[in-house]
Amino acid sequence: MKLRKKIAFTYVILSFFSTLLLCVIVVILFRQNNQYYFIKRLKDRAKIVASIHDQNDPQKAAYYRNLKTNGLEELIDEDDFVLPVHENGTFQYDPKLHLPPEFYKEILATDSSWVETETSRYYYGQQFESAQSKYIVVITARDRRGDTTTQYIIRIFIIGCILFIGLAYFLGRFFAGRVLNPMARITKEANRITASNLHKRLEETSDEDEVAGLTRTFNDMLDRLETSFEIQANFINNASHELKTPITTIIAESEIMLLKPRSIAEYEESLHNIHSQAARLGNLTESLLKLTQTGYDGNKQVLDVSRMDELLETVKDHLDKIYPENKISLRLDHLPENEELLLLPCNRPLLELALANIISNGVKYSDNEVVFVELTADATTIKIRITDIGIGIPAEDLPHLYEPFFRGKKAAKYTGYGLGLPLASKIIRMHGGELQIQSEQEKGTMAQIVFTRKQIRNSNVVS
Amino acid sequence: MKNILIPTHLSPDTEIAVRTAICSASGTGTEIMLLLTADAPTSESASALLRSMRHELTASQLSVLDDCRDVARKSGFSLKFHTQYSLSGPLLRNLLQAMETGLVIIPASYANSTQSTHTSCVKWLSLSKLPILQLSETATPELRKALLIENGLGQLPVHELQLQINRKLPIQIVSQANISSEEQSLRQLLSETIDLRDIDVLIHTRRTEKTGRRKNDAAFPESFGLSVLSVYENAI
Repeated sequence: MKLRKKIAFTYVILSFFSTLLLCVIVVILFRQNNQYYFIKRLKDRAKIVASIHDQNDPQKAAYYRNLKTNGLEELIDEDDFVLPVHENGTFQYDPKLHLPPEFYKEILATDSSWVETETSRYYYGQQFESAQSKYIVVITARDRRGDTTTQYIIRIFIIGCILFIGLAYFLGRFFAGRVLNPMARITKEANRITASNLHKRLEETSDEDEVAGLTRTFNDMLDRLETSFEIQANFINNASHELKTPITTIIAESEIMLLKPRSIAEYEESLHNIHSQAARLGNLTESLLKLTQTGYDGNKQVLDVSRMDELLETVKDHLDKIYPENKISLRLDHLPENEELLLLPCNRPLLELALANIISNGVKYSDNEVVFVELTADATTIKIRITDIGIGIPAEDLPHLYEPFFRGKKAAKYTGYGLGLPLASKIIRMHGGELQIQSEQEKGTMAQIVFTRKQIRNSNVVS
Repeated sequence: MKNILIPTHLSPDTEIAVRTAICSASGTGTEIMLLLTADAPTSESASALLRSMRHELTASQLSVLDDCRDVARKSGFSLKFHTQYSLSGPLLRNLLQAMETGLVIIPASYANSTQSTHTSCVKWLSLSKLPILQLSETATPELRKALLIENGLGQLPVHELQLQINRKLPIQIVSQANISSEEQSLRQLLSETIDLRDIDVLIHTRRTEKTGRRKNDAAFPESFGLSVLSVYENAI
């Protein structure tokens, strides 16, 4: 898991840098605070030294000296110097002091200054003015305690940082693991899905996070993949199944004609029949090919706008040729007054095929009994109801109706391949329709196709 | 059925437009209005303007006008001829209202004209809510089969549209395609369908919102060299 390492590493680096920054700021502020209080102590001493210098009385001077040594907290390596300032701005230099000239300049300019020379040795200088003269008092001492505390704190911080990096590394790994766990789960699940079980889907979580989105996207992709896979796999099946009927008609027609010599009118009629079947075959092949190209989404094609009643008449014409004894009864008496409501944008050859499949099922499984085909339409839907009084479908077979090559037990004595209904259902779904099948054994089957029109909010073209 | 307006500059294909109008107007009482648009001449005084505004039709224009009148008389329609100097959007709107126009037929030569009076007239007409039939150069007067070109969502269902169109024109929508995406891949399919099903008019809907895309939408149907019927779609 490279991503896991990367996340852990980034987490460690980021937390290390933020902690380091915090430590540095704390150390700097701590040191400044130490310096401030130490300088303050030096300042007090400078005042006392100035007072000693000012006193002419040796007894008072001794008193102050005593106060300085015993009254105040002891300083390490303490020393003081008094440097008289002359009228012309110069002062008497003490050779024991090795201080930068800027220090003196600042004292003369602003009356006080401090400097840290070597490690933790501070010099504080202040200019005093007595009645007779000006002089500079320089106090020096070593701030060993401040120094050790700073070092101590720095040491704590270094150890803390190291420990923290270790902790951050483990936390980072844990955190990365938590983030990436769903990914690992998806990878594992996705690995299970192969060409043979494309119908499997990833488990969708109820969360609304990115991982749920990924899962959904993945599942959608699988949907599309499955559909196109199915189309590819079923094309040959569908093609051979659907092309069989017209070819049978053509062969039968020509065989009958060839039995004996006939009149020209009969030949003409027969050739006409053969031509129409061949044309149908051509249309069908083209539609099936296009279906394979464009898939079932139906967006990338030019649709025919057809009247449903006309379409049903055509289907009945075709079926009359295949099943001459059929009793298909088209019931078009409940049509709406507004004929435009019968219009449906569709792929006409395919929809004809689907309807022919369903109606011929009715004819076939009822042994040429009456099949009612009823068409109704209103502003929102177009309904086609196909009712037969055939053998019916057992309840346990109903869920399998749309599986290719499925054949019910009862259907075994009828010829068929179990391809018609799955294809019909797909074609109807492609047209935004829905195929519902209700059936009772030995009573009959009712197939209802409902096309729902897309609704728009306001449908007035101003005339 | 209200009246039919034909904006024209009296080129020979005006006659086709008149014939189309006669085919479309099923009912009686329909008037066909020829609208000749021209620039108002610039002149200093009112009398100079009136003098220069005299009807000065050329010989060929006069013969086209006569032909049109003949055609209309034979079919029993009344043909009116109106010359309009200097046109503006609101003026055209009032003119359409006054003439009780229900359909506009634009001859090909007029639509393709580069004269500013003609192009702006076409533009203002497209802002109105009337259906506009723009004829192609090869158009026959009788238009029967239509291909509906959808461009995106919020479209009228095809049965509604068919209903609306049949109030004006005896055109049957036989195919429909959605061109909201992948225009190029559909182009070939569309031309195939047009050949196969003898389609002689394309229908597309337009909206009056002046969106930037509108121009491209209109250009696509016109590129097939067929007559284009543009229907106003009131989608709120």
